[in-house]
Amino acid sequence: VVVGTGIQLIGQVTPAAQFELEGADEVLFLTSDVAEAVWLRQVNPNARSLGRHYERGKHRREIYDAMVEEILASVRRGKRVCAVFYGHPGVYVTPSHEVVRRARAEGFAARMLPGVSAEDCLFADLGVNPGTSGWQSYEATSLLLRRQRPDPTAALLLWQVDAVGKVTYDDEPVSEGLRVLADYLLELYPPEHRAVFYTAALHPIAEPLIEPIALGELAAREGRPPGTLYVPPLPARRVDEKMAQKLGLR
Amino acid sequence: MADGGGFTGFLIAIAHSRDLLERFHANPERAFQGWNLDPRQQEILKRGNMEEIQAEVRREHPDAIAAWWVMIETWVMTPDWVMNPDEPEPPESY
Repeated sequence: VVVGTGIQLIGQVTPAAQFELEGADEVLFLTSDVAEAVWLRQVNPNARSLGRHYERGKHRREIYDAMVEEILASVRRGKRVCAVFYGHPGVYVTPSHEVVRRARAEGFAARMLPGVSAEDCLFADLGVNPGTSGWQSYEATSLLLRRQRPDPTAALLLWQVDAVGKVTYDDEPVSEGLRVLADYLLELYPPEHRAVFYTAALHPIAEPLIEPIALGELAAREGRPPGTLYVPPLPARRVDEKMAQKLGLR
Repeated sequence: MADGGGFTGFLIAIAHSRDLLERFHANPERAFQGWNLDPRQQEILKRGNMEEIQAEVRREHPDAIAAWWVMIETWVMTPDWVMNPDEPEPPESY
């Protein structure tokens, strides 16, 4: 079973995920929060980190393969295995999907349980209802590379803005990538249109990070920005009368 | 000392306990009793700054830092060409 632990330490672990964590013969985890790793070892003494597969300079696909192989090796030994990722295990996580696919291909029963993603936290913290205008969600670098065109009348979420234009994480600023992203967004939105940098709270005693910014000021922002940028929609388009007639609504 | 004590132990406990969380908001000093937190750690908790909190947890568990960085690095870029092996890799310059 692949589970997610949510964004906030412990509080967003679902009862279903907790059940799997406690009942597993082996727990293999990848988490961004050291406190969470400590807690996982308390919940299940047979918990161990998948993090050791990372080596600087190693191709990312090799890292993922090694993680998937370690999880599958336990499954093949007949163990009840729980693989743990933070947030929602299916959102912006590659090895979680891969291990379910490969386990099933080998004839094992494998499934993924949903978790609380950063996007879920954003809906609550910013008071956004994705059904109101529609919802678009892109990885920032991928959006630029493929010149995907968001509809500015629907809400837009950009992930990994703190690494836009980069393939590896480091502490260097992303000013050039941010400038390119700003130029791209300004083809769609007026410069005074206000977006919000957002990071969900990782602990119950912490507040989410919410930083409003006009898109016209995005390129000049200094330092590493928070990871997620929410761009509210422009005013909705008028209803298409012909379409309304086709639907029998006129 | 409650449940092992320490900064990380306090964070885990407060995430588990509505009662401790409410005590923390009402009277932090009282909530800290029994947790063996030095004044600097208490101030970090009171400020509630996520980066400060995480840095202190890493300081308390230096053996886990490598794993933390792994997650950040592997999570940060999971582009299409990783998710979909058939997607051609971008040029090296990217």
